[in-house]
Amino acid sequence: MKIAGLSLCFMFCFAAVNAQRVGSTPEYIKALTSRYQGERSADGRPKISDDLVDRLKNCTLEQIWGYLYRKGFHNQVEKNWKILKPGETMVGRVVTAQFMPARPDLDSLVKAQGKEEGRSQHGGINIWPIDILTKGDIYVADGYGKVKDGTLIGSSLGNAIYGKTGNGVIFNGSIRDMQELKDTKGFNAWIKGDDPSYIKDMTPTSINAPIRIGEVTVFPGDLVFANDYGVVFVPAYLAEPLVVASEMTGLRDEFER
Amino acid sequence: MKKKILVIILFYFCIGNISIAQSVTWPKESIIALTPEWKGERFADGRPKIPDELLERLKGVSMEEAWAALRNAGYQNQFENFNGYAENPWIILHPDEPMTGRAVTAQYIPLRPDLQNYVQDQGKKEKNPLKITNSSPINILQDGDVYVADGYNKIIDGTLIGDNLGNAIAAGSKRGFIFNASIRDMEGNLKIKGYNGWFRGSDPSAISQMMLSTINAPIRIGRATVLPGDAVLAKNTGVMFIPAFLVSDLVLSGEYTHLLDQFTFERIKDKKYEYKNEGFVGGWTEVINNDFLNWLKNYPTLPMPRKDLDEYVKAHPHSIAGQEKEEVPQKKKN
Repeated sequence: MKIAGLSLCFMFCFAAVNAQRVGSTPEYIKALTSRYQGERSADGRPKISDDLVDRLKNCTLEQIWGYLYRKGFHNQVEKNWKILKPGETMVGRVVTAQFMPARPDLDSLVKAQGKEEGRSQHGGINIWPIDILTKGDIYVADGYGKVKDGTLIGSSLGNAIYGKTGNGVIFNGSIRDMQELKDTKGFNAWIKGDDPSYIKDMTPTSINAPIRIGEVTVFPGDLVFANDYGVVFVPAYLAEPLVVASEMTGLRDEFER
Repeated sequence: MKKKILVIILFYFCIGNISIAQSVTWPKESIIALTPEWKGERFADGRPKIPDELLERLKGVSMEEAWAALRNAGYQNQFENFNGYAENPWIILHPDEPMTGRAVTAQYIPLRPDLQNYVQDQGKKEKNPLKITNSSPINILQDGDVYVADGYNKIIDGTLIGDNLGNAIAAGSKRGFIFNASIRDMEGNLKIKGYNGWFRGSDPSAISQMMLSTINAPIRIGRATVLPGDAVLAKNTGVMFIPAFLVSDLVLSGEYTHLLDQFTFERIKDKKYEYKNEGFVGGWTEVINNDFLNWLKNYPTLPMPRKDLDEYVKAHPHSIAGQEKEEVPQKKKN
């Protein structure tokens, strides 16, 4: 009996070791962001306070870039966006998703693994990252710049995202229903293009793992700042000192003027 | 008491393993989970061991034949040549020499100090004797491998190898590399014997502000998703990544299609039958079919074993003009 229990335990462990997950475990996210000492969400992501997120909104792209550069982070700004509603600044906590060209063998593994992780079995699996969004999050996805047949969301998913996060999206990819989404108050999108076509032949292979958005490696729980001039991703452990330093720079500039 | 301690130790060991689940070098079990349809032998690292003889025959298969076999199997995103839509189409060291082999994959990503710390810590846990660098994937190459890496089309400061690492790839794999990135020391690389490479640019700069994040995980090369252990078919017309379990059938069907085409070309040339609008007038008749089977029987040097061809022909009989089976509506099963 005991031996049976022991071998069961062992088998369970073995299975856990074998599987590369779709959604990152809290332990993995903590290991990635080990320098962050503050509060975390249940999923392991650093949870920077709403107050600090709001204060980041008043910073400039140059202030943020300068602070990160001095800290050795030289690849945190991505340019060349199409913006749904220019003139706005969007800030929030990052949830990441990686999409890849579909391939039946990889797809079946992703579907089986996603089921194991308790992810939705109704509708397309491209909604899995949207299912986990919470207030103050920003959905950031790598759709490898695919525009035609690469539309990660349309107006219904866009409204769902806004309902959950109060924010919009940042995609190295495209969206559809630009016209309707423009009318969704509070929602905004930084994208590489738009197209009337549906998403086709794409699989979400990871959620809340590090992804690449153009020239930037993005972590789950990064703080993101997006405006007309670019998008910058701030490692969570640097968010507080960065905001304080930027505010000081702002005050000094104001005094000098 | 001893048993209790054992259980506790085991439990902690397991928790520890769960928490490090995201590997730098994907372990054997993960690679097997990615390629469950492969039933043959595997390497110690878990990758399917496609027989050398098949990889050699794969060189003779045309891109179109491979494309058709993959499409029939439901694989639509396995080819890339970067022509027509991307900035940097393939540059090939020796365009006239096709290359086949088994993929070892590597993912490069823009440098982030915090990710670099994680990768180096994780690399130590995985018992890598050296730091994780752009040499790491090259150190594990075996005879018959092809080093496939995604460097996100970074050209300046995106040179994954120079001629030193080029020589190391040649010595390890006896094949070469496929890079969605650039190389340096192009001249030196051109001089390396028995070695070939597909890449997106050459630049004198040294690799900078980029880092290795995974080895033998799924990666993307342009429009294609690549798994470790895929067969690589690289030619001057582009690169195809073929799931290991499909290679055997793909090679045989490719070779058969090639023979069929050859027969057709000969008959068009010798005008034995009238040929119009991409077909023999009157269709593929019994006479033509017997002629073809006979032609196959007398073919001097077949690319495949005669037995394999006979089995293939038996399993895929050519439909004869006028004798097409009428489609009988299938009875509903209760």
